[in-house]
Amino acid sequence: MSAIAQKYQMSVVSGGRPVLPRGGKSVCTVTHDGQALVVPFSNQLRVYSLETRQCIKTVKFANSAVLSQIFPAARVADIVMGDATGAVTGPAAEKLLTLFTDLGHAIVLNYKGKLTETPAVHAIPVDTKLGERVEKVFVSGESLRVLIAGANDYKLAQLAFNTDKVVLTEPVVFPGAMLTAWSGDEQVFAALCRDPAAGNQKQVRVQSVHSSAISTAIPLEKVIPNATTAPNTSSKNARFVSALAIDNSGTQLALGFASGVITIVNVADLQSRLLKWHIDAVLALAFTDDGAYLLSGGWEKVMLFWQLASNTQQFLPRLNGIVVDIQPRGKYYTLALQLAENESSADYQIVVLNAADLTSRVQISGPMPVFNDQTRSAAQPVSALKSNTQINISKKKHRRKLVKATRQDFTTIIEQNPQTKQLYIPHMSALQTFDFYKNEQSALQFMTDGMNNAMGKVRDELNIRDPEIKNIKVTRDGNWLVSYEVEYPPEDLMSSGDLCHVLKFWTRQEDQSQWTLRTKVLNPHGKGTPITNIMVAPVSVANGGAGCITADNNGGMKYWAFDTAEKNWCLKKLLIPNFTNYSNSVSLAWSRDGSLIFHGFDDKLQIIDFDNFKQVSVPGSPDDSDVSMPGEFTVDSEIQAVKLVGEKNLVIATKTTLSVIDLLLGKITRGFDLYPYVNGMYKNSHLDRLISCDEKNEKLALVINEQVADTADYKAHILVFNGDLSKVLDRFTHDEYISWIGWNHDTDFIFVDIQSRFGVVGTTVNTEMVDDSNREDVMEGILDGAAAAAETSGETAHSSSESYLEKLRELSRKKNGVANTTVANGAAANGTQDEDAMDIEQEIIAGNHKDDHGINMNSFSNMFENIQNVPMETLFDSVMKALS
Amino acid sequence: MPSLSQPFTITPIPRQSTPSPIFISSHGLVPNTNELDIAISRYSISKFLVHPTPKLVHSTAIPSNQIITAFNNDVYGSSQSKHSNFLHLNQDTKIAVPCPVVNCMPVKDKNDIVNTTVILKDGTIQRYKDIVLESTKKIPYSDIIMAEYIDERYVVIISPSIVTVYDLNTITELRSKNNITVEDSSFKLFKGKLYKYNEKTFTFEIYDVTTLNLLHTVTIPFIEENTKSVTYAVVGEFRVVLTVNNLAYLLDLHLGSVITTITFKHLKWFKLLTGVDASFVLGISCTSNSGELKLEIVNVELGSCNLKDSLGKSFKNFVKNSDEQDKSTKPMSLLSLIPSSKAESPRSFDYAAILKKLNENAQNKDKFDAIFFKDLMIEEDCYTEKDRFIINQRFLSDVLDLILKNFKFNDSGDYPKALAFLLTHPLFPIQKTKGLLATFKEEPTLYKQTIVTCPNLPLEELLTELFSIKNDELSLDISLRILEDYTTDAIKESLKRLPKVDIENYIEFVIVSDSDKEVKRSADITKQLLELLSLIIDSVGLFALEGKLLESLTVFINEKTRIAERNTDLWYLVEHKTTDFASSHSTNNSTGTSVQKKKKLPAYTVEYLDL
Repeated sequence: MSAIAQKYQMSVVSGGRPVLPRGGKSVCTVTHDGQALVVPFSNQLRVYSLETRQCIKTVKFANSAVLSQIFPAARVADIVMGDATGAVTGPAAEKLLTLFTDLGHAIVLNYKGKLTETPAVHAIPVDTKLGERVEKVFVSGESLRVLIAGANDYKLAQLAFNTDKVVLTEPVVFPGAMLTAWSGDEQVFAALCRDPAAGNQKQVRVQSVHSSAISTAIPLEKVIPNATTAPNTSSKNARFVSALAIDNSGTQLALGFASGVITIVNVADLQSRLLKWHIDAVLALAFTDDGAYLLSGGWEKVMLFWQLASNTQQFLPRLNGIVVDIQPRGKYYTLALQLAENESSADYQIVVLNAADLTSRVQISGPMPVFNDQTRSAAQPVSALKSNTQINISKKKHRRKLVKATRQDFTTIIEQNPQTKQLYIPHMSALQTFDFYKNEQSALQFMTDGMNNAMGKVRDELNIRDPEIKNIKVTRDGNWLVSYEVEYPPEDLMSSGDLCHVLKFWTRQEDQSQWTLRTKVLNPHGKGTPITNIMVAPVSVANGGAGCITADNNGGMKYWAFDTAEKNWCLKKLLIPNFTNYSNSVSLAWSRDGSLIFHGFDDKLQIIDFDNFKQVSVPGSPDDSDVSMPGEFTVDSEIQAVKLVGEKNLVIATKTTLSVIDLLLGKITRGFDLYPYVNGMYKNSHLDRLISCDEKNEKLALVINEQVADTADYKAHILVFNGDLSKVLDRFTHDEYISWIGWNHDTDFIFVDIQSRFGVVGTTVNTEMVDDSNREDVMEGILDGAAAAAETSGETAHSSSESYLEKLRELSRKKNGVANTTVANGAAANGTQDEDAMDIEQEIIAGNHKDDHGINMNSFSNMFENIQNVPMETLFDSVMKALS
Repeated sequence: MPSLSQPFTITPIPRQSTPSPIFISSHGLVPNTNELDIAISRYSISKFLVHPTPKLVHSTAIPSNQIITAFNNDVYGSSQSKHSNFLHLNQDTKIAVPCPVVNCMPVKDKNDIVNTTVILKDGTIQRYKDIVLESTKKIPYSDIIMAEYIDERYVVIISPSIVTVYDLNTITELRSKNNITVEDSSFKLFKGKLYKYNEKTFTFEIYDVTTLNLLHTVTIPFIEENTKSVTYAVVGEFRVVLTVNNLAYLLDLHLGSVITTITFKHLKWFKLLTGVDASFVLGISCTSNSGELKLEIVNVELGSCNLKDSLGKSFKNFVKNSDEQDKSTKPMSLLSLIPSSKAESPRSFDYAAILKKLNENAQNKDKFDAIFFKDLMIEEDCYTEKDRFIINQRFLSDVLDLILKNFKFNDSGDYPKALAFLLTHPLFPIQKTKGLLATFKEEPTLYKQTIVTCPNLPLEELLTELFSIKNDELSLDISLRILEDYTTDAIKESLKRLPKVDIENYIEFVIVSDSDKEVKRSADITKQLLELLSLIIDSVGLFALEGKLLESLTVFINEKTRIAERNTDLWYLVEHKTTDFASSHSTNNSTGTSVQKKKKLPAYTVEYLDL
């Protein structure tokens, strides 16, 4: 069908996570003018305006040859504004920032301009083989000191960028340091040490960073609250320091314990007092600049303000996640929150609050997919109550398990809105809406009646598990969201196994990012019966696709559609569970004209007639009884995915093969051996998440993940097939495990890896990847987009039968108009020219002009991405260029 | 259901030495029409009522040397010789025109005056107001083959050199395309699409009228070479009726499928003239014995017009004697694309050679086995994932034939192990499962193997076996198999077709052997049996059973209910005791049941912290 030869390209363009090095401390830095915040991501730097709350600039590491070599192996450890090496000074340095990575790179980067000039890279002499990592760089006037974490100690050393090399001098070593903290003005440093030389006694060492004005050691024993006064908490938690803070003057030290108690120690006389409010480990502590307030946060999703003079508290509750870091920065507080409900990964959100009124200035988070199993980057903070934080303790064990296990199912579910192109990422009981093109979270909405939605839990509520969103779908018109969630009864009850299954239908106002619940169905397939798959209707049924089918684990199916009279979603058709066995390998596909449903159940494929919701029986025609096909196929093993590519090719992925049934021929025409690649790797029917079908251009993309031998590292292959699998059009290799792939309802496939990065396999050159320096590529992208658009309209031409009269009328109106002009002008040559122009215009209207300059939604995204930095003339030029 | 009816006659047509054109006025060509105006060259122009039986309303004879070239609503063009061509604007007005009329279109305006647009073969477009020639315009193309009006305003003109679309109001050319060949082709216009069929290549091309772009090309593969009398009529979007001799096909040109077909047995051929949107086609038939010609109508039921109607009906399935090889004999490997240490390269086998060798050793089961297992590289006695490359069903079927032919199955155990392997193969050819159970009845091992592993056993046979067998274990196996493989609907449907006596015997068998204490059944399997039993009772209807059987069934059910109730009571007791125990003696787990010790959920407590 597609006449245009398509060449696919792969690029990793978007997504990524905010980097929180040093065990979860944010390294965002306010720019020179104080107007913006620089936030390091795993794959880019993003600059957010504190005024407009928008991302105004991104620096993608992949776009620079130098940076792409350093990252993602290294992580950003610290950012210093200006040129820390001292090579550039004065106003010129205001465009620069210096990135320090944990592996010891110091990179001077022009963050305001384009990534055209090669950034200067210096190497700080750290011995990475011995496990040394750069943690923090302290700047005070000319003095530059760097904190280096070794395997057993911390080292604070003077850093000097000499002309030929970088040297470290005057090291102060903190042997056995486990936990560090520094004051808000970065002048005082504190470390919790267990010095083997000092008899393994824990002590807190307080030290001036740039001088030796303060240098004391406080034995922990002396300030620890007497264990007997807190009989309810186990003494271990009461002695486990989970957070540390020191004020600017170096006189007050705050220790947060795993038991939830905070001890304030007066450094001078070791007088201490207790602050009790937290019920679980204190994860974040910070003094305000004047030392009058202590800010604390933890598992309760509440930020506390302790007024130290009066001992009163104030609260900022209902944060999105547990508080893992608080940093006062003058007018702002920077908070790092972890959305710890997701144990499969580490999802962080960075929030900047206005210190005066505590309104949120900026909220920054990457995409937060929930993977089926815990990935290697999963991390949870210390908790005294939650038992599952063990993964922190036995991280090595977890890693070993990852290396050895056959089952490596880190797949996830993401759904794209066909209209707005937003991505919907289920995040436990919430739904994250992510704008792929802006690379920005546009909303995080709680979709279930969970406890987490509002606030943290009290101790006795810990065995209550929040409902989880297990599946979501968006209808073709983009106006409805179908979510399936499972509610868990409290643990330790006889009814604990009785899950409640809920199907919800949500609608969305045109201009709103939040969904509104329209219909909720409890246990839609009967009590205790899970929904194994959901599929939305094609546009040809239910008023443009406001319908969906749900399937259960016993062969039952139900068809739901929006009833305009009832103003609700109603059950319209049902197929009662027909099988006597149960299976989670349930897959669904729907023919484009809506007439047939393909239902893969276990190793059987049923063809269901949508009209009467029964299995089709295809009788042979009276004359030729050979011509018939069964309404049911049995294949070699459990069906994992069923996709209808184009009109008649049904692709079936089983545990051993990927085969295609030509529905018109009624038999399998081709097959690929999948067994070595998927055997035992994925949970039943999860392979479906790694196969996607481009319905417009009749292409199929398949992801095959592969473990790099004997490591917990992965690589992934993406294969793009044509409609009947007769040809592999393209193949790509990605350096990370791919969790999901989907068609963007246009010409591209979008995928996400376990590092939450988004990539595109597509025919349009992604404009986001291209820097302004090479505009030609953008134009190419536009052309390709136009070609695709032309093709689409060709398709609509044969779907609407009556519109041809309209078109003819339009055509003759134009023609006659042209004729008149010609007469009026009296100039024949002029006329023909006009006519040609008209012709081209006509062709565009008719959708057949192959080389016109159409515009698609990607055309301008690049220009507007960094609009704040672009001079008006340049912007105008760019727009004109795209238009002409 | 889409269908084509048998034709019924509107009028007989006199036999003529050379076939000459027949026209049907366009106003009758609408769905549910009851009036047809038909112009038969050299014969007559007549009006017919179609329903309830075709009836001639009136008829005007025309001279036998007059060939009709165009006909529309009483206006027609005629030609007697090369230089004598006429336009008949009404019964009395006959105007001589320089060359034959290709098409004419009379339109009544609001004053009831007929305006007629006429297109002549040389490319002249004439307009008449009533009978007065108002204007004459010549378009730059001549030798017009066909002109079709669209919506009374536009016209598609086909000449050997070009296909164009004109606006008749202004006589401006809207579109033209000169690379559409017209040789050996017949054109039809239908709802904004131009259908072109090439008689030489059996190929349909479909063009969009508004752009004259080629939308779709499809070749009909099942028309045999040198077939001359292929005609077609368009009856819907991408749907045409095609006749080849006395065979009629309803085709979906978009998908490339034969939706339905019909043979007109008493006819020699049937040639289509025209089709009407989703309702009927008109054509001329020729009876096979007498050779009479008739104008006939065939009703068309288009059906749902979607994929459902085309399932398994590809053009290719209608190709006779196709010797197309089974392409799926070897699964393709992704190995060349994705190197993997785990992946092995797919094995391919020379099936023909293996079959030949097996054939030579068909009498000797040991040799047979040796060849079978070695050449196909099979390591185990049953199918494993390693054998997934053996997917040639024809080969499997041939081997089966070989074994079934050469060995007897009479409890001697004298059969090759290959047979047991084949029975475990998931691609066991479906057509070979018929009668398999009966064949192996005397060979218990094979019989059991078949029941347990052979895929796609026919449900009827399974049920028959189930009702006739008196072996407890096998009966269980069969019922498990039935429940696993077939949906409850299919089972019920099948049961209805079985003799009632068998069913009653079976019910009795289940009830009696269950109460027979000597037979121990594990609870889980009994559940399956009961499920099947309930299905059986469901399908025959409880009250269709004999009184005696009903009584024993009642006893049986009562017994089961009693046990169930007792179990429930016990369960409550256990639950009560354990929760009680757990709360009162949290360390004492002396109940001795399998129920885990439950920690009681504490009530909400408030803790005060002293600050």
